[in-house]
Amino acid sequence: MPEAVLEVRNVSKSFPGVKALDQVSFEVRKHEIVGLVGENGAGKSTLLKILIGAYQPDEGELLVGGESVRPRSVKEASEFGLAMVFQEQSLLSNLTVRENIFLGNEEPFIRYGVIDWKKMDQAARVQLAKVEMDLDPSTYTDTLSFASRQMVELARVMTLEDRTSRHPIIILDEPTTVLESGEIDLLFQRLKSLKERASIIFVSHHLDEILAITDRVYVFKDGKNVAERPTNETNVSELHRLMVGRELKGEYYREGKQTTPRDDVVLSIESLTKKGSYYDIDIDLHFGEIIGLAGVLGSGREEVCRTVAGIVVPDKGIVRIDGQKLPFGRPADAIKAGIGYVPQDRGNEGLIIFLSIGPNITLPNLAKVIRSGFLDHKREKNLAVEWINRLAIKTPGPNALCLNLSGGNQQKVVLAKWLASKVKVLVLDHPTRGIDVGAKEDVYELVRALAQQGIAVLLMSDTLDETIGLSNIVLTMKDGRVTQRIPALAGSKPRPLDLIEHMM
Amino acid sequence: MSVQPRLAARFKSLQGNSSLIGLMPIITLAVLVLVMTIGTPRFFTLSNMTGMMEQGSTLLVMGLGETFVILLGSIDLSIAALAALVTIIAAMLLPTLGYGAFVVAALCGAAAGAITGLVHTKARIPSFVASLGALGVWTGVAFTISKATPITVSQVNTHYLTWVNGTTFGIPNVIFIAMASLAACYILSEYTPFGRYVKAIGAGEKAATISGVGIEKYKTLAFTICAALAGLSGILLSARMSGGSARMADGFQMRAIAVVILGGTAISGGVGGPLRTFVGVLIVMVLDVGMNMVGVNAWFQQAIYGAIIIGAVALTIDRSRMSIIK
Repeated sequence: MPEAVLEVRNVSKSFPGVKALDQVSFEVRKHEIVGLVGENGAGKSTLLKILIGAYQPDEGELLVGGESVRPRSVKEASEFGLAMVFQEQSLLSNLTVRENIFLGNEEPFIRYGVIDWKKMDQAARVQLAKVEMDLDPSTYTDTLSFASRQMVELARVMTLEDRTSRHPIIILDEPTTVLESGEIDLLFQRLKSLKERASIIFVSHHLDEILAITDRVYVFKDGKNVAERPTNETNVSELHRLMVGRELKGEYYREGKQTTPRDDVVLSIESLTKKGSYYDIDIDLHFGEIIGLAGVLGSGREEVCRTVAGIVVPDKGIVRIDGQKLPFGRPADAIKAGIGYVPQDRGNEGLIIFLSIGPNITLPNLAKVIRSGFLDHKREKNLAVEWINRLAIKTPGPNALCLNLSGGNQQKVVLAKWLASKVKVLVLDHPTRGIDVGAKEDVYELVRALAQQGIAVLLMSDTLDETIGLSNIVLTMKDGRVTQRIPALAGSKPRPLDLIEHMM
Repeated sequence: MSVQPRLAARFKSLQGNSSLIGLMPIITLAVLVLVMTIGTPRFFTLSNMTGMMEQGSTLLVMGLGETFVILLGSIDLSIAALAALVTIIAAMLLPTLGYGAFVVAALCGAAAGAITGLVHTKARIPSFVASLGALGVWTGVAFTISKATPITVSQVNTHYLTWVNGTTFGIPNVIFIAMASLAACYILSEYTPFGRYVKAIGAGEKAATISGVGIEKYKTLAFTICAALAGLSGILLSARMSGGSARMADGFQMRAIAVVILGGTAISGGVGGPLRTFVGVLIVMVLDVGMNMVGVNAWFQQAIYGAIIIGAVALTIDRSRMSIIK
């Protein structure tokens, strides 16, 4: 067995209210590609951030070449040979290929205080050759295709070889998300030849890719490393089972409390189109109905939701709520019509973390606590206390800033905000992202209770299981179009695989 | 670890004790007053206090306006220039309009702020740039209409100025005007939707937008109120100086921002309010007296206030909220 170049031993990391990593151990050996799989929130990104020095572990240690290290910044991590090709590419588009490759490491090319471009060009060509790219190093990166930019990033990361004596360990986080299939093949080919020079950690949601490129796979679930498999001894269905690994699925999503929607439509979306995002979307959402939108990145489901929430303006089409045409582009209009939006980005869009619970709840409907023109602070506080009790929000007190609440309790405040506004329709954009299992179950319970009261829900989730488990009907989307409408009645839920074929 | 992160870490630990940070302006004021009282027995007398308040009134009115803009997380660099312009408008119109001159001058101030606010929100120009441009425009207009010459209120018209310059129960009227402004701004900030929304925008504009808050409306309104108060401070200046001049509010811009920040309103927006600005004004007034007694000349005092602004921001700014500082 080749020696381990990187060992992670019993690493744990907590954020307020969530244990993101729980006693995780794993290793990367010389000249191998290791796959990491797991659902969103399983702890993969936290681990990667620890490896590149962006986070510090609460406990446990990292060993590089047998030596215990504790990188505190991306720069320090690179000195230990650890570098990441970022999911959102990190090249500076206003600079050339050569400048990007050597950004922050220009010293070797400086003569008499100025940069020797010829020398840098030569060195850049050497790096590009490592990824088999034949490219003029003075090209500006904004003129390159996405796939070429990714190669430039790889070339840049490979400068590690010359800068440290360590064995380079390259981390690729979802590198194929935006690539065409031909480009993916090319990337894989390059990665296989890079194995001669480096070790690679490969993170992907696509299990078939993991099986195609890696030598070994680790499966993460709920912050734990639950399995390790040599790639040639496993398959998609085993990995999937390990990732999801829940037996009591029905109870988890409160399927027993799933209700039948009413017959009348509360929100109707009619041939809604926004070029480049989504096309000819038709959805009828009934009172008390939960519709799940399933689709990969770029399927257009998020833009549809943000259109209904009054943020995105479509090119054509109509949204009616209770028969009234909804004006587009102003959240205030959507709110007035009775639509509440629980956004993905809880800390920036969902609530104002520097305000306490009361002011967050009253933000969309301040009129509730205004008496003869003036704010009634006492009434606002009572309202906060009422919702703290109703949703069992764990807080030091009604005056605590939302900053000090855990993710799950913050999400309850966002929900309370809309429930206090008496919405008819809730748009839930990844409502359980980054919150722990217990809080997730509270949210599921709440969603069921809302449906019971007749509130309609448009749902987008991190996991297919959640989408299927909660929804009355699932709409799959692909390339901006609805491809299939799949009923998800309690007791006869479709399987994730039934959906995936309409999403890919 | 280099010095810089270590310093940042120390600031952070200071902020960790947020109640301490919140109390710092008051503590600073108390320490300053104590030092002054021990140093000069005549400091803590009624007449000295009244004199200081009288001095600080114009600054307080101007600082109250700036408070709302800074609460938004924006900045208005044009208010002193606007106040100077207003002194000219008031002094020029006084002979013909009498008290009406003050009304027109105040309305001009408010209108000017509405323009700055609209340029900032509708054209989506950073407030720093929009107000810097406005500073240039108001100064240019002020010099042009006054032909770069100070305008003096003639003796026959000085009775129009008594509402500012006179006294009631032995206390200068200007103090009552400043205190009334403080009370109005306090109510505005704490008990009206405007105050709540201004703070919400400053603390989280995205979340406020998604919750349906009319961002542009309240930003424009904040700039308008800020300028209206700048206009009022211009009127007070004009009355106290019995005239108008394009240079009458020189030095006020920096002091107006200084009192907001020294009082503890966060430059990043969202946290603070009029009462804090009042504390900031008191600190500056005591410092003024102190520096005069120690013999720091008036020109160099500007340099000291410049340094104090930077120091106060360094101590109070929450760097964890800003990943990049531009």
